[in-house]
Amino acid sequence: MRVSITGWKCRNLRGGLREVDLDLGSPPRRWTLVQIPNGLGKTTTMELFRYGFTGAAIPPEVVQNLRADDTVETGQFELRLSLDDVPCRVVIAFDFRSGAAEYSTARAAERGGGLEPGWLLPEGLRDLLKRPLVELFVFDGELATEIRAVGKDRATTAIEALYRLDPIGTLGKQVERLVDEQFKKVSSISTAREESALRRLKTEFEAARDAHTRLIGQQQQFSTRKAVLSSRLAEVAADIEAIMASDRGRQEQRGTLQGDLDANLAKVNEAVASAMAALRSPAQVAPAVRERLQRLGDQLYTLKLPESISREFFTELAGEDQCVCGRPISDHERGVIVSRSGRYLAEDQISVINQMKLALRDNPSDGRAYVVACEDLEARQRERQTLNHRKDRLEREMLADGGERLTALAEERDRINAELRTLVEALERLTTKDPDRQKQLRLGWETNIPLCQLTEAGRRHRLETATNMRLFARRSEKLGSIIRATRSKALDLLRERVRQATNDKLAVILRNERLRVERITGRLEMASDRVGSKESLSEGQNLAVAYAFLTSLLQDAPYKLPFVVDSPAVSLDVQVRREVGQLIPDFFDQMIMFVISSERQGFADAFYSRDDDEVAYLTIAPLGGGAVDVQRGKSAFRDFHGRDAS
Amino acid sequence: MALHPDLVTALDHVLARQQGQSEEFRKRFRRLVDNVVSVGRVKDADVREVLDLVVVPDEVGL
Repeated sequence: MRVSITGWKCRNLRGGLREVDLDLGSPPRRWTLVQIPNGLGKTTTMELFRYGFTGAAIPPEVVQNLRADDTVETGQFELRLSLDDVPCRVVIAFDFRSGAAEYSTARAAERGGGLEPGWLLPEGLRDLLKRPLVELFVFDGELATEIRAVGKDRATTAIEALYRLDPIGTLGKQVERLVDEQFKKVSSISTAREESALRRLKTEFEAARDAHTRLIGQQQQFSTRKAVLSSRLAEVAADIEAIMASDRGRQEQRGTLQGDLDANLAKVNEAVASAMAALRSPAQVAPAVRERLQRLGDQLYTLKLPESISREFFTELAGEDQCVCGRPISDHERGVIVSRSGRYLAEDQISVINQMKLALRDNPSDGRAYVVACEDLEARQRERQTLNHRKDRLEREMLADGGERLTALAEERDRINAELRTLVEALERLTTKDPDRQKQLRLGWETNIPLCQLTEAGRRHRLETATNMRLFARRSEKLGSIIRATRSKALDLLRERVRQATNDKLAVILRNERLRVERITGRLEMASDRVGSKESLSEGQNLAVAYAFLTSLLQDAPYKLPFVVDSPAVSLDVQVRREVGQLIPDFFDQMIMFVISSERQGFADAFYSRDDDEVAYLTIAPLGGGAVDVQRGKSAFRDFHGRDAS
Repeated sequence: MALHPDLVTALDHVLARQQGQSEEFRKRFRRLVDNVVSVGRVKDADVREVLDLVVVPDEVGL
């Protein structure tokens, strides 16, 4: 983008800036020499240019210091620009009473060119125009001798801003931000970001996966063994039965005992059902419980009647000749019945309590049903125990008389049953999903399959999340390193380009001693053909280096910026001035130079031979009372004898 | 706004040293830099697209 200054206007500002309107034309001439004596607002104008270009907040004390005199309360500065040939105005309105400074902007392409509040230069320029850079192209010539060290990294910062390396740095930060955002998203699942943490998660997941595999293997092994044993148990039981069947007398007794046991079991079940039914009715659990419930019922019975139903009763009773007990009712008693009826009435919810009262009072149970059922159950259990003892004794006798074969079969059956019990317990430990049972058996993910499945799934999820996050982070690191390398390499190339261009100019300007920029680090490191490193330069050399560097910096940038300089040659000897005046202007598309009359010799007069269409000469002369006269033309410029003239 | 020649050279130089990266990544990365230099900023989605194309060596393996 090409940025040109097409004019500026001041109103009610101090120095000679009470009423100044300088129009440089559009497009402006390439070089503008503004001859202005000291004290007529040169420094102020330069500073207002910097504010106009940066849009920075202006402190109240600065605003108040701009006031022309006590007769004015407001003032204004207007910077007129051309942005790629599109007019733009930045206006700063000052209120000297409050110290306020308000920016507004008029852009031809926006809102028909009307003023809008705010500093509204195009986006790319807004990012670019920061104070350190603006100070390099709205340049105080008296600071030129310090340019090599002004702001330790000014040179690098300027290259980065001008050549658009800053947005590449922003891109790197954007990548870092994306990683942080992603990390926050998954941090509830896994906080693993480093490789070591990822390896730990992987080890934990593999442990759960291996445990799951091992437990499934155990389950299969136990189930197979259980099936084999169950099958064998059936065979052994059948063999035992077959042998025992040969002892007919005992076999009949055994059958009878088994029939009794079956009948007993039915009675046990009936007793259990009765006990459970009794348990569901609180009044039947125990006489003491029933007694307490009935006491509660009696207390509830004295409670009030439901109002909406019962009020009518009292009203009707008061209207009768006789009471419900048969006694005559007098007028006094009628009044008392009605007036005291409220004591016995309550809200309708009381009907629920009434139902409870009735239920408790009308229960015919003696409250022993549960106790009786439990006693019956205990009797059936004792009976069952006796029958089992008798049957066991009979079977032991049958086995004792059954010979070695039956004894061996019985022993085998007992062994199988013992092993089956162990297997069933082991399988329950492996497979139970009941949380209470898991807790009771003190099971964990290493011993119980459902718990192991849960742990494996959780660890897999964490590992996958962390792996994806880690991959994302590593990709980001890689991309970040490529971005940094690109920016760094570009900076090296640009610094070298600027360095070489600076040295080319220095070779022309400084013929006596061939100074050169050895390196652009944060600052300019100098060397000469006489000494390797040269830190101490004369004032003229410093100025030549400064202009050679500034022009080299700005001349090739994507943004073509104007170069505004105050007192460009004041500290140079005439010969160097002449060379600076002849060489440097060619490097800028627009250069505005504020000079005092003493700078004409050598510097300004180097322009006299240039094409008049390319040079504008403006001379600002004081008229008194803060007013100035602006004279245009070479002759007025050349002949002006200001108070600064040497 | 065209990229400055030094920036183009820097991109060539750096990308030439990224042996494991795909042509698609190189193309998208150039476009990303071009956009950010021209406009000043790029969308997160554009950055994520380029991130997805970055190749990094397998570190742990599942």
